[in-house]
Amino acid sequence: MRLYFRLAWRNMWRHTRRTFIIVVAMGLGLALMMFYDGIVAGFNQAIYGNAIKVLGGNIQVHAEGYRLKADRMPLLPLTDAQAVVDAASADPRVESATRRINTGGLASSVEGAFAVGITGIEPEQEQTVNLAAQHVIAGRYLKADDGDVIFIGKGLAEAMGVGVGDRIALSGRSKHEQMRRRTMTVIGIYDLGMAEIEKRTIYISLAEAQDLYNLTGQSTEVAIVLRMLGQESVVIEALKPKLPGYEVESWETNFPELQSALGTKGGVMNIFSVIILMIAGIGILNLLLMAVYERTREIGLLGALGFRPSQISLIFVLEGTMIGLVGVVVGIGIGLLINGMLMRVGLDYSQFGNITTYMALIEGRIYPGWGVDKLASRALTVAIISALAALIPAREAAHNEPAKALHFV
Amino acid sequence: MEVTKVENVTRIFKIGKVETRALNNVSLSIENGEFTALVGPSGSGKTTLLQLIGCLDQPTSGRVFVNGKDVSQLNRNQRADMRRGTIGFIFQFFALIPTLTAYENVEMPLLLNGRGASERRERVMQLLEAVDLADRAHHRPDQLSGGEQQRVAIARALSSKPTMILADEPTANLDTTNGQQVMEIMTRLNQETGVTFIFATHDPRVIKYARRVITMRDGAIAENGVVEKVQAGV
Amino acid sequence: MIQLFKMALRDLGRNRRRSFFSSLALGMGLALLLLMASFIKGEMGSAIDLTIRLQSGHLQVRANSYDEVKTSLKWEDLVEDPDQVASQIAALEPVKFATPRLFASGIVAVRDESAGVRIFGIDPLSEANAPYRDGLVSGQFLTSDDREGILIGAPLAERLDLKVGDVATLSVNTSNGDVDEQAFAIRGIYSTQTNGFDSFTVFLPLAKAQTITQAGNHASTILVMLKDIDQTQAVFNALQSSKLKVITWEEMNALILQTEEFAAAYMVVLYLIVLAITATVIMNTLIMAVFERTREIGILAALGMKGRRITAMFLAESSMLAVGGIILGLVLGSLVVAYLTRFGFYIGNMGISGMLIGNTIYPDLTVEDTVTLSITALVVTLLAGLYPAILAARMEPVEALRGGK
Repeated sequence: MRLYFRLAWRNMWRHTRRTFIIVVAMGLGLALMMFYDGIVAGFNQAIYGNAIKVLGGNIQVHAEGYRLKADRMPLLPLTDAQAVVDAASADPRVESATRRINTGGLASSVEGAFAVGITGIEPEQEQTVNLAAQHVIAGRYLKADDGDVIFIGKGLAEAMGVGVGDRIALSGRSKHEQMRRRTMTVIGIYDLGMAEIEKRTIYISLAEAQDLYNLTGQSTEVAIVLRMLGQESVVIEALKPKLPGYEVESWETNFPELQSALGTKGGVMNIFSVIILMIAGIGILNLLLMAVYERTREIGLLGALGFRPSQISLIFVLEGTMIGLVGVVVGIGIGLLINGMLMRVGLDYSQFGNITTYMALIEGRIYPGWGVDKLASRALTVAIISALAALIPAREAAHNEPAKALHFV
Repeated sequence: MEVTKVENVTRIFKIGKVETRALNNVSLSIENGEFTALVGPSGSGKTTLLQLIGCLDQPTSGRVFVNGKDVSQLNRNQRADMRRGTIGFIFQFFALIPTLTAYENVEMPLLLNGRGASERRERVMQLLEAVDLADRAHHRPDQLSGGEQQRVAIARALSSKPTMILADEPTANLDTTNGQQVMEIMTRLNQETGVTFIFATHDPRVIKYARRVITMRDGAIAENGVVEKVQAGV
Repeated sequence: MIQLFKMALRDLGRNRRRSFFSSLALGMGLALLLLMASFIKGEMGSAIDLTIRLQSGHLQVRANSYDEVKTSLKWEDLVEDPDQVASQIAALEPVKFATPRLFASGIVAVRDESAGVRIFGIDPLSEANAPYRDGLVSGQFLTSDDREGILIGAPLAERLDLKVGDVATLSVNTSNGDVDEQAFAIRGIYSTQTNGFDSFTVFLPLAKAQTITQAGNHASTILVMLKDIDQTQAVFNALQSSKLKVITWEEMNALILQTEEFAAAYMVVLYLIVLAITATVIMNTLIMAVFERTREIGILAALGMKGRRITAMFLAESSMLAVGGIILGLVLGSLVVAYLTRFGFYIGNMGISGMLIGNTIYPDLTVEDTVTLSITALVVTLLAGLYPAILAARMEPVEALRGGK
């Protein structure tokens, strides 16, 4: 009933200072959670943009069973790659759908050897969407009929000590037992400013890859680039029925460790936040205990008026919960403030580039988001903890017979 | 018609190891429409008796009836429900909810009984006018004088049309003028509406207004008299 | 003085529940801080230990031009006559053992699949390689003259579905920039409980590694382990020479140390937040307590108790609350840390390859951290109690006597 809310709300502000202090404490707890959410969002954002550039698309289509072995980049050809390309291209949200072959290999020069991912691409089709193609700094981009040439990034070129025209030895698997090995010439170098990522990738023409790996006329992946960011799940839902027997996935599944790392860190953060909120909850508990004591006569009056013990308890539980909720509002303010500031400045993560594949995608700074994506569940957590904190005082309030409470001085 | 009856009621309080016998085998009956005072010094048990009649407390032994119903063994929830519609209270310390306005305080019992919005509005304003406080309806207790607060309390006590109103030392914290005003309002309301009024008091000014005086001493009834009052310049 | 504290204790006892919960708030806060600190120490500490034990050793001696990232096998980048150099180094007193190692990059392939690996050519007899031998999950360790056997990590074996006895092809880069390929039998599978290491590292006997990479009588590095890590600087100085470069574990693990600093900075922010919240909760409770006892304070003041004594009285109470809270926090914290130390905190595979972190973290609660955090919490609580105590002293007796809401 609205009466309860009215009573609880007005009761809260009887002692402004003490309520305010606790509200701020709760708010800080929420702000901390928002801060973390903001960083995760910023993280994802930073990775997202770059990942798509590197993976050649927002969505990848593979043959069934690919995902299980994804980290080994198996040579699992799609049954009918062209059909996939056609189905995808028919969707107006898709900017391009191109065929690729992905595999792993060893690139070696006199300087040293590097384990790399070898990607066979359709150069003409990817011309407009492949960022590497648009940032050539030496030599030229690939052509469809190129053979025995590779297109590499500046990071790799420098690490291997090679320039345009130099040769390297490239070993990769083939569909059959042997490791196919070839000497290739560097035909072009691109610069995306992502040295760590560039060190792990080599581009060759699709035709070359098909030949090298005995996959004539086939490919292991169709990379789909969308016109707009953020539409992955929608488009995947639309494409799945048209492509039965294929795995249609968004870019995130290429980085399973990212998900698991975020999950673990997120889990720890959650526990941490809950404990902090519980400490603030003790603040509510003490505050309400005090209130119950101070208002003993008034509670007796409520009883005299005909409030049942459970209803009297409800008033206090509501009061506690509302304190928590006001704390949420304050916390949102603080959180937005902090995240807003950090958003401008950014956090420097550049030195962690070579820790993991996904960290390499973060070039330089991370810009935290507003941190509001999980706000609803965070606010609910605060409300629940506040309500629980109010339970002991609420029970206390309903404990006394009105007669006793009324004559309490 | 009996509005309340107590039968052989005893109330013993235990504070720590000390036992106090506040009421000792008291029996009493009060009719509808009475304007009765329970009189005696502090410790005589008048407040305790009032509390038992008002279902605020339970007797150690004996029975209490309200409107013919045995309330002595009701549980707390049942007693709360009993109080909600049937009994109104007025206390010495005014007992208004400090965070609510006069209007809202008077409205409270109506809300508890689930009355509709327009019905509430009408009734509250009617009551506030009856106690001459219609213009202070939206003031909070800390903005009202003692006398005004007690009048609001009276209005509230009446709002859900109770069968009886129990007043515990209603004038103890009021000066002469205000006390007089409050007693006159209550007398008028008793005559106009027929609601039973039962007071616990040791204030002679209050006793003057009572039509029946029940004197109590040491937890028992000493005198149970009906006094016919002639309001001749007293 | 004792009188003061006796009174304080009694006053706290008057409202036992509130006192308990206030101490509990502090206790929880401190326990949380202790847990956080022990976690970071545990994580970082183990990362360094792990890296030293599995990868970097205390010192390494290399050719001047060797670049770890490129795993070059050119003879000019390698250490010549490594066994000689190693035994010379091992002769030094603080050195526990010195062993040559050859690093190469390669690919292990079986059936349709392959995985990039780094190859350690090791001396199977050296004690330096005990962690891998002790970590054998199945099969056998390598022998010095094995020409066809390879030792791989459990995660790799699982990924490529390899068992002991299976055959896989290894492609390795060679010193003239070429790639050589050979079939190897899986001699054994090891696990060091460190995904970042086990997934990528395979072992060959040094002699075989030298042959297949055409490195001749060379090694990429001499790995040196000391009896006491504090001797690192001394040995570093002793090994200085113009032909070879010496690097310490600190240089090799600069990234971990940097990460540790980064984490420490983050932690300070978190510490502050926890302390802030705990302090506000306690201060709030103390303020309410002061107001509850307004009348009592008024009486005391009217009886002639000076402001300072009133402040002292309340400070005594808050300090006892603080002490109680600290004790509670130490107990709580120790219990949780003890539990986790026994069972570990499993973080699984974070995909971290540049920095070795075990699959399970064991918290490490140092005396230093405990003392620092406890004292900080104590000081903060006392400061929080200062404001209410001063408030109490400032009350006018008349107001106080009249008040007492």
